[in-house]
Amino acid sequence: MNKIRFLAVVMVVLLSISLVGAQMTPRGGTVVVSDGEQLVGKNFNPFAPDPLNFTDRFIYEPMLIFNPVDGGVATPWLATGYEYGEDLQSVAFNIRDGVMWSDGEMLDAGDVAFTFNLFLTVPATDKAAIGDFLESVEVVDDSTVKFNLNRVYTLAHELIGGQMIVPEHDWADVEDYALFTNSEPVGTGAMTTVADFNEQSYTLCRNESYWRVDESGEQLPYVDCIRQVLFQGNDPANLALINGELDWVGNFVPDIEQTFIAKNPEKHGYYFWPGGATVQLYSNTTKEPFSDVNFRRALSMAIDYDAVTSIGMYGYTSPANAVGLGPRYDSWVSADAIAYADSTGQTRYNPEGAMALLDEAGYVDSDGDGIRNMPGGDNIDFKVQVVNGWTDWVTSVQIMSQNFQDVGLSATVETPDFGAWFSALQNATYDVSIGWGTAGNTPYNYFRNLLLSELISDEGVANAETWGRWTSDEADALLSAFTETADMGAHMDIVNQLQMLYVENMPAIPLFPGPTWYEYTTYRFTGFPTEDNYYAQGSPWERNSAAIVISTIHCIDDMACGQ
Amino acid sequence: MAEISALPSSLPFRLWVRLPGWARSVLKNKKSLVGILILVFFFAVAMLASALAPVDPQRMVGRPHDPPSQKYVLGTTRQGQDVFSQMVHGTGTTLRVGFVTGTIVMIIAIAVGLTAGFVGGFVDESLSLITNIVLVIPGLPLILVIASLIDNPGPDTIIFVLCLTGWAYGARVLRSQTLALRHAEFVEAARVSGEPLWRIIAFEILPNMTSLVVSSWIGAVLYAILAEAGLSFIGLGNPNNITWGTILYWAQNNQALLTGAWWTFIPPGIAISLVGLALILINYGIDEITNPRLSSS
Amino acid sequence: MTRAIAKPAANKPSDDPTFFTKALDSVYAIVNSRFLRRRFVFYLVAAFAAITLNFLIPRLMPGDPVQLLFARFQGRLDPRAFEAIKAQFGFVEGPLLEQYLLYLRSIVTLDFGPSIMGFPIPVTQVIFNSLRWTLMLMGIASVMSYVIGTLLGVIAAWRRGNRIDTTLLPIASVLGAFPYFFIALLAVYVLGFQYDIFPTSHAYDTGISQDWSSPEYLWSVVYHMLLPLITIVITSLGGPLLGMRNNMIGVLSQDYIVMAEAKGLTERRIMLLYAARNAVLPSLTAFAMSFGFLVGGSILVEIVFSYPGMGYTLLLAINARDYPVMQGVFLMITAVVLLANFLVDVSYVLLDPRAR
Repeated sequence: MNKIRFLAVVMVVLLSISLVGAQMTPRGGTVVVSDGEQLVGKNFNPFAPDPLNFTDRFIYEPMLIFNPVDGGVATPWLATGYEYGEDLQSVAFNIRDGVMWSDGEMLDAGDVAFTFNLFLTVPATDKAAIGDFLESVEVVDDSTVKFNLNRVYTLAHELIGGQMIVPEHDWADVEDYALFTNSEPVGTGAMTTVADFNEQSYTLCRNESYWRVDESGEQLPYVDCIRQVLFQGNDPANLALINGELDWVGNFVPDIEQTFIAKNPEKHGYYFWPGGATVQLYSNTTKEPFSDVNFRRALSMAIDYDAVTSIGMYGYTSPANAVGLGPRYDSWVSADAIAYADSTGQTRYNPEGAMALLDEAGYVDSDGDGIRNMPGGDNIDFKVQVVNGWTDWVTSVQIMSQNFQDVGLSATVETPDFGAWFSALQNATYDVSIGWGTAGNTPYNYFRNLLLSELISDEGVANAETWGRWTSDEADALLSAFTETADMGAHMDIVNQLQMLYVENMPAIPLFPGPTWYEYTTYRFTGFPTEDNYYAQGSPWERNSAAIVISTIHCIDDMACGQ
Repeated sequence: MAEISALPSSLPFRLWVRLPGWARSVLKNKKSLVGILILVFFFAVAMLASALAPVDPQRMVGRPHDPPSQKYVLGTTRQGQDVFSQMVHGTGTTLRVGFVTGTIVMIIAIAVGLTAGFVGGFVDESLSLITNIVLVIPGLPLILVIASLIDNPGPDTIIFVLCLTGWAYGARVLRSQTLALRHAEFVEAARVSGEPLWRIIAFEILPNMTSLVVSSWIGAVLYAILAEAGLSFIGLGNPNNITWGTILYWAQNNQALLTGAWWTFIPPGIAISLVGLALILINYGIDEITNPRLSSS
Repeated sequence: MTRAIAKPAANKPSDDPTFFTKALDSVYAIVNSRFLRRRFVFYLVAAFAAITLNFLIPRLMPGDPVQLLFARFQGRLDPRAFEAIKAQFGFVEGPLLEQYLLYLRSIVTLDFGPSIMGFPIPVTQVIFNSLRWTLMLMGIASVMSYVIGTLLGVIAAWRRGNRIDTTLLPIASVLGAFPYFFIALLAVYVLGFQYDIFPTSHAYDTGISQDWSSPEYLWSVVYHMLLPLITIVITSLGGPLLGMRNNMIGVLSQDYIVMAEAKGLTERRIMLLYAARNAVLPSLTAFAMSFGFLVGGSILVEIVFSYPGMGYTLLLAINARDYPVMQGVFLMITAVVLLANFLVDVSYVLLDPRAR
């Protein structure tokens, strides 16, 4: 059956070549990418802590793809669909027919079951913590796999659907999965042949039996190979990008209009879609005065958000809304929460308001040194932390600390290195710090990682982004209720309530939605996402989108196609 | 001398005659005089910083990357800060890192190197052991470790770390030179005549290594200034402290060369090399004074 | 053993040996040198102390490698998977003493286990990939600048006031007074980017495969090395040049030089046999020491030219708190520096009979 279908596809391809040969999409060429990868060794094991970046984009594929621009809607990939059982305690996936591994074997339900049984039996491979909710895996028939859950968990399809599926016939004999480097990968992805590998770059070439075809039945991808080139830092990568040596890049480029676009406005393009996680200002609510919501609110009113985004962030993003949900989640934003924030004036630049609020809450200059004190008379003297070297954030924090000084607070900037900074956040040894948020398919992940008390370990280590340590039973209950219903209306309602909690209690101050770095040049290839046709997130480091983009771009002329 | 002795009662003359002989020789040498004048200029800038540049170097006062103009003599940074003010205010910190580090390093190096080289035996063994251990510890990782152990690494951290790791090099060089000198006749003579150890070291050996000591000191000062710039460039400095190194760091991070904002990149580089040039000129001058026979003029 | 005699037996009255017996003497001196034997024990102690410090230093740093791995994903990795990844990194846990013994064993067997940042890639592989480029570029560069600098220094001191002394020395010194990365960035920007004469990054063209027998590849390696090499040599020439010149000046005022001159020996002979031979000793020390700075200094080169190498690997390892890689790199540097020092001691014995 599968073989027949494949043959049919081949026939259609051949037919279309002979019929509309002149209009066929040009094929061939090597796309040169730089996504900031720091290569250490040849490791294509998708379940290793940090495999090579191309592993889960072009070699292995998941059952569902969540294109960030699609607002959390799944695109069927290795599965054609999924369905929850009536009790919401199981979910069944239908495996696509006619998908071939790069060594010629067919993908079947057995491979999927093998992959998930691996997570259950070898915890070291379970990077997404599937074992947390998955009880067992059943092969129903050749093309159906049923996942039995240990509780009602309506986000199971996102996590299950997002896992890379590995071939049973290639992986069953591996001795130690944790130490497996998989140097000759067999995958279902678009680029599975490791053509070159060295300390500066590595190249993957097309999977001759890739399952995807375009509208006219032509096999995808159009390009032959993709090469990752490594640079020690941003600057040399940016020089190469401006020189036209790179086709597809996911780098921060300062003053991009002037440095990159102006060099060749025809061939150079970028779009920093503000669909990334919202960057927030966290404060340690276990310490005074940050435990006082009025103090946090006053801080948020002291910040000159426009200066932060225009100078600190080079104008690449704009201030966040009061609930910290970026444009990607527009349909989820609660009007009530926004109205509440409007009434208090929080997260709007208003130094007078901030000063009035501080006065009212008792933070006045009681010893006459020009700096505000605690109501008890103690000095307020806090440090705002930012990772050394993250210059856009450092500038943003410098602006904010000036803003805090302007309302009479003693704030100084502190720039520990990444490790020390992260450790301070997790162990609550900081005062105030800038930090990232989470961007998931729905706002659930954002609120969960910010508010869920379970994420603070018994030893007191704050995981995910619970760095502010503001937790409540109400938030915990809402978050767990979200995973127990599949009803969209109920989800909306829960997210509304979470937003209310967020604006009332200000567990963090939302600064700006993160811009997603993405640049491209069209000297050799075309078809990249543009601002007008943003069919997928452009950043080459976004794996869901990258799998779509690689099968959309194609070379433009004989020279590019021949490379 | 003639033009100075013509004004016997003037203040400069009274100061001049009070100077020790070596200082007069240094000031009479054209090269070292130029070097000293350059250094005096930069020290004056450092001391008069607030008067010369009243604009807060940290404040964002102008538009991003404003080219040099009447208002901002050296333009503004990407953050809209006044580059001239940053240069002026950064002078003091940069010089402090350089001269404090260089001097401490040299004092330790002389003490350790000369003692080890001259005394020999067990003292030499233990001092050389410490010296060599310090030399084989990779300095940069040590700097990183200390930077991450200390909450807010700043110029003082850099001074501390450079001193901790920097003296061993000089000590080793001076020790080997001392080894070469220790059996020289005049040293043996001093020893036979029963001069105490410290006198032999201070009055017999040290003066014979003046050019090496001075060039090592100059090297240490220059090394410290360049190391500060290099560390800042890698991103290990504190971007809140303004030094010439951090100005370069920010210029590079904002790709000053690509955007054409040379005024944030060129001045700190030139300033560093001018201080270096001054030090080198002083070294030349002292060479010529200690070895007039070989003076190039 | 360490308590040595106050006066080494170096003052023996010696007759005037011929060149031949002198050479034999040298070999004999190296093999039988009490000095070198003492130094050998000394190096063992130094190596042991450095190795122990190498072990302790990374562990003093705040931050946990597994947490940092998570942090690198900035929320894209599920926090619940923490245990899964911790399970993979089991080897960095355990009491300090146990870790230390494991570390000592790894030094003996040269097996440092898997790295953390590239788990499960072995540390030796991570280091080897970068080590060869660092040794090649920095080795060539430091030998070049020392040899050229020392030779020019001899000439400059020999004839004070000649062109090398009055022109080249000031230029070299001023170039050395610029921060290295300042010159290198200007070179990359002007010569690489604006005028496109040199490549702006990498050790060879990323479009061609690594093949040491292919002339195209070799040319690419040479071509990519030119600009880093030139910038390193011109900015580091000043040190050895000035150092050698100053040493020469010091030596030239010595009594034995004056005596040699009085004896009517030729100038060339005085320069090379008497002055340069003695003046080169501190320069030699400086050269050996410079190996320790090799890795530290190469970080700047690697960042500016995006050249693969150990310095940048070390920076990555430090940021990722990758103890095994850090220790591996530390160990390589330590070994290279100790070896260089030992070689310098050997040449001391040869050049300075008093050290025998």
